[in-house]
Amino acid sequence: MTPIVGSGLLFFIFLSVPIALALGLASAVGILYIGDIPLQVMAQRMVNGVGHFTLMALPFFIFAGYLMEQGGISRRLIQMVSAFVGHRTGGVAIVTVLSAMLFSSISGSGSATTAALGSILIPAMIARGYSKPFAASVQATSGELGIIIPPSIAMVIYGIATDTSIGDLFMAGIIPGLMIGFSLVVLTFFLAKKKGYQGVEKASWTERWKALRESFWALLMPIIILGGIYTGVFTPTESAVVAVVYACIVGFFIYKEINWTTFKKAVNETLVTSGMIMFIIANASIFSWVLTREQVPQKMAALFASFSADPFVFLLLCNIFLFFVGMFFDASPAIIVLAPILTPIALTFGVDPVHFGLIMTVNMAMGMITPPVGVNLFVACKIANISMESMMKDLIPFWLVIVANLLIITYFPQLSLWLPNILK
Amino acid sequence: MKSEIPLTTEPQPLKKHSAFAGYFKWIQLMNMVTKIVAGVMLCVMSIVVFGSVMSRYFANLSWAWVEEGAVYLMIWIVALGASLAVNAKHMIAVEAVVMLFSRPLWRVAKTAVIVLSVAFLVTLIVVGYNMAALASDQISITLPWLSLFWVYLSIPVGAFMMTLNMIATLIEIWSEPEVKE
Repeated sequence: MTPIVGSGLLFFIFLSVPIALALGLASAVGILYIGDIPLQVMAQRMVNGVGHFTLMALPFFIFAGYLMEQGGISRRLIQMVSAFVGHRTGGVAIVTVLSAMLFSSISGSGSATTAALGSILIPAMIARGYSKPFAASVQATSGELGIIIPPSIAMVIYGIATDTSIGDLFMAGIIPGLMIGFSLVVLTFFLAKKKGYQGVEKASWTERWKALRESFWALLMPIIILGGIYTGVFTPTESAVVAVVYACIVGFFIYKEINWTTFKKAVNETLVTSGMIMFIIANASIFSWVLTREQVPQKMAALFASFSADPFVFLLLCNIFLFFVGMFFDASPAIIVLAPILTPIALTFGVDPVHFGLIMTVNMAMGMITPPVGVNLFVACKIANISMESMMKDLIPFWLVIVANLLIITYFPQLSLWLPNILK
Repeated sequence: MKSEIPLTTEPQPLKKHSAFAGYFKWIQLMNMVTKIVAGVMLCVMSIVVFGSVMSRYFANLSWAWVEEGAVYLMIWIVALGASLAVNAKHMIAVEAVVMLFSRPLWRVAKTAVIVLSVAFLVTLIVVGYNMAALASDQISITLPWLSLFWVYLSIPVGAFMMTLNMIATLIEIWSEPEVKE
């Protein structure tokens, strides 16, 4: 049965059936093939798959993200970073990476980070004479930090799919996220130096102080979100709804950039984006139910074990497998389908589920900048108005840095686990 | 080549094609109503959950029905939002292969995609309604006046609206030969 469902899924997906419906169709084929299960089970699995209070963090984080974009929070963060480091060699590009790190600590999505910052920074880089492919590569690559630095939609999904503490996963993402961010800063600096890209005019200390004060309300947000989760005041879902209300208050009353029109726009975008992602989750829930019923996880475990009993080899195989998955799939569907299969296997190899969650998340983040289907590449190309092919040469060094980071994160579990462990 | 997350999600205006103008008008109206209903649900969900956080934190009061009620609202938001996503051409799909097709073949492939999708959605309408009927004698634990029928009803309703939006997309594909999506 498994080959039929598997090949069915791949056929539907490559025919360009929307991922959500492809998962549902393949599951329906599987259920009909098994024969003795009424199809009503699909409706039941969908409602059970989506109906978690924890999963509500997802629409709330998405809502907060759009409200921040409309409320001018992203622009103020960029101005603040720019006032401090914009004058250095490759200044605007370095500002791009650093702003992405900051914005990631309030946004849970990679493509949203790329879109919110890229619409301001890619034109700014091009205006300073940076090449379009370079500008698009910097933005697409740093945008993936959105799901690595907490909060992270991918981690919420992983936590629900595998019953792992979302708070621990968030904490585990901080050091790897900073590591990736700073290695991108170093790479950007050297590339910009080689290409002779200049920074912007140096800001005076008065201007810096002003920019810092203006971004104060934006900088307070990650402290509320993450601080609230770790002190045990909020669950991740509650911290997400606090972020929504906070973004509303700052946008309506402090920065005064949100009005009825922009608010309606944020609501609409939230409905469409969370409807799309969570409909995938609903269908993936049917799919993973069919796989579990057919004991696919056990069969996969036996397959992996037949290759090697060495965790080192297992993690390498996982990374290679997830790399191919990431070429074509988005983070949410890949994690919701694969995490319940791979994580129990990882456990038998002695890999910590939190660490494994990080490995999956970083892999899927890399998938966002890996052709042929990379959501960040697509967003960045659209803003820079270039084709994806034309940016490939400039993308390679960035991509290699991410691969190196991924291997370090895979083989040094302490990087991920140290912070959640000391905070317990 | 794309996994579509456009920068704006403003639904694209449905093209007026003489024979189908009436159909598009109704679809537009349906989507507008959906947007308002789902938008209100999203705001209510946010306010209720935020309110319960505050009341627990400041007054040490918590209500069991908040979580369950909010989850049911979210299920409806997903069903309605997914239909809006179909309308906004916002469903993630792997376009890398069909992009390589010639124009006529592309159109055939896209038609097959919509036929398959609609077949699945129609199945969902039927089994979703059956499930809702089966669940009609179950009541919510914390909201004793609420039958689970109303929760499961989101599936056939959402699937029905998605079907109508899919058909609109199909009409668009066949009525605009020159523009490739």
